[in-house]
Amino acid sequence: MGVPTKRTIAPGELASLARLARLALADAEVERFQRDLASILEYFDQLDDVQTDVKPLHHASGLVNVFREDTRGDSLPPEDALGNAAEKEEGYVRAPRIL
Amino acid sequence: MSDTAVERVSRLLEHIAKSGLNAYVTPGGEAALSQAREADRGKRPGPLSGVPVAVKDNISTRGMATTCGSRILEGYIPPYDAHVVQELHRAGAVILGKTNMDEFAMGSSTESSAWGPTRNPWDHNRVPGGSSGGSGAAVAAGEAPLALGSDTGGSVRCPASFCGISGLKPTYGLVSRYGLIAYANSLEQIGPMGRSVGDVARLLDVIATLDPRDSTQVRDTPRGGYLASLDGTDLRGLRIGLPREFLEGADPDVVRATHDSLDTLQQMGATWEEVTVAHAQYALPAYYVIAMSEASSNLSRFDGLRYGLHLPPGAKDWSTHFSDVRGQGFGPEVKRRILLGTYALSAGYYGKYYLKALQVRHLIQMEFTRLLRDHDLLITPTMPFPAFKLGERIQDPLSLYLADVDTVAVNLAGVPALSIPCGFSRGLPLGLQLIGRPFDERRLLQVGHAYQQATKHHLARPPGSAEAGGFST
Repeated sequence: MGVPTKRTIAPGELASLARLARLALADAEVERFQRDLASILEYFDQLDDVQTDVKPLHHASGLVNVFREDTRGDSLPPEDALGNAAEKEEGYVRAPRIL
Repeated sequence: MSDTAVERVSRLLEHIAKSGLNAYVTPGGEAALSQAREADRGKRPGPLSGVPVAVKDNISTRGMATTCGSRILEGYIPPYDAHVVQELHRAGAVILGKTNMDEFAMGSSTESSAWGPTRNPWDHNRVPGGSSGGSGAAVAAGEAPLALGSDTGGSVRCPASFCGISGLKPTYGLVSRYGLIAYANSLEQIGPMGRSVGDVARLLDVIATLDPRDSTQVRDTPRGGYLASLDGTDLRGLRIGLPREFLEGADPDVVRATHDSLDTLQQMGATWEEVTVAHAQYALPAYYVIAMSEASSNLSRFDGLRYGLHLPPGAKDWSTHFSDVRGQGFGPEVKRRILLGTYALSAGYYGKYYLKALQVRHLIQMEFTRLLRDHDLLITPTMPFPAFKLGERIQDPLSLYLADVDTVAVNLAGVPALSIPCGFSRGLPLGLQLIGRPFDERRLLQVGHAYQQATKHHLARPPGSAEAGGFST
């Protein structure tokens, strides 16, 4: 374990994370998550102690670039694909305004 | 089996409706009965004809609600089946229902489900483990003979251990993940759960088939013949490694049960020795950094527009609306992991957390590769303690993460691992973890099966169990 650094997460830092992650947080959650994130990140900081002179391993099997023939196949009928959408119009999903 | 599939399925559905375990989110109802009727009429032939199978609620079932234990997917009816579900149908099985789980498989207790916790059949005040706690409890209590779970950091093995059943986390790349709703896709596999290793092998034979729709599936490895490979109890020549770090800090009853199991295996001809996994303590933080980082990306797709929780957008803009939907739809543990994953991937911290964790994963895989060259398998406890009480850990996320200390390294290394019952502590089941070489599931199952021929731990049933029927290998 490294030297314990009493970590804190500033309210502004949490707000910017929540914005990046598109998560609206209630006031009670803000306080709670500030505390939780600080203690969990402090636990993660022990990774600093590991001597890592190896390449990062993104997944275990070592497969890269798996290709298949580019052929036509069956796909979901549009009515099935849209079956769960609450608001739709002429084969499209209605979304809130972007700008 | 003397009764018909319809009789068996109706009996189970009645029992599930009255059960206090909350193992099922969505029981199969009329759809399950109609599949059972087909089986009785000979229209559903196959190795699992008429056999009820419970399916974890993060595995897509066409026409049957699939919620991942989350409000954000409330009411979502998948328009397609996961590959493993297609294979269950092809094998003649009856989809008995969808089982409860920690929200998006994030947890080790099934307490974070939006639909309330599942209870441990051995003690209703305790957790069944997680995240596949519904599947674990259902099989242990006889509410299903077989079940599917998914395992990202121990989510099949932990409930198998806490509920006293058998469960396998296959090698990464053996089973198709098509239709498994992703949490941390570089770590997770769908795995079979049953009372005996024979049942686990039977279910693995059905689900471990090639599927061009999963590009992470390894193609050039032999699949199938798992049940047929189970024979004999002669373990002469088998070399077992016992990583000492995995016993440190474990409950004394767990340590005792592990050593008793090694004695049993030794009497059957195996030899064992202590070994060291030098980076063992770093597996847990590396696992959580990777899993949370992948989760923050995977879960960005849930916007409440195309499926699931819908709020009227009103005059709000895109980002505000999505933030509100996600704020209401996700529970606290999911939000915590998305926030931490976002943090670990953000500029300035990417190298310190995410890349570092990927390097530690590499070191751990190298250690497992080396240990599994000199040993045919490694044995550890599955969990460091028996099932804990409902509410005991849920308020302290880090204490819940620490429960996964013996299971996560397996997912980082991508190797297969089997959990089997190996004894009891104060009336609660304990699990033994057998870790094997990549794609060497046959050996794990052979050794597990041999152990179950010599012991009776897997035959114990919790009080008030139903009779699930099915198999009794």
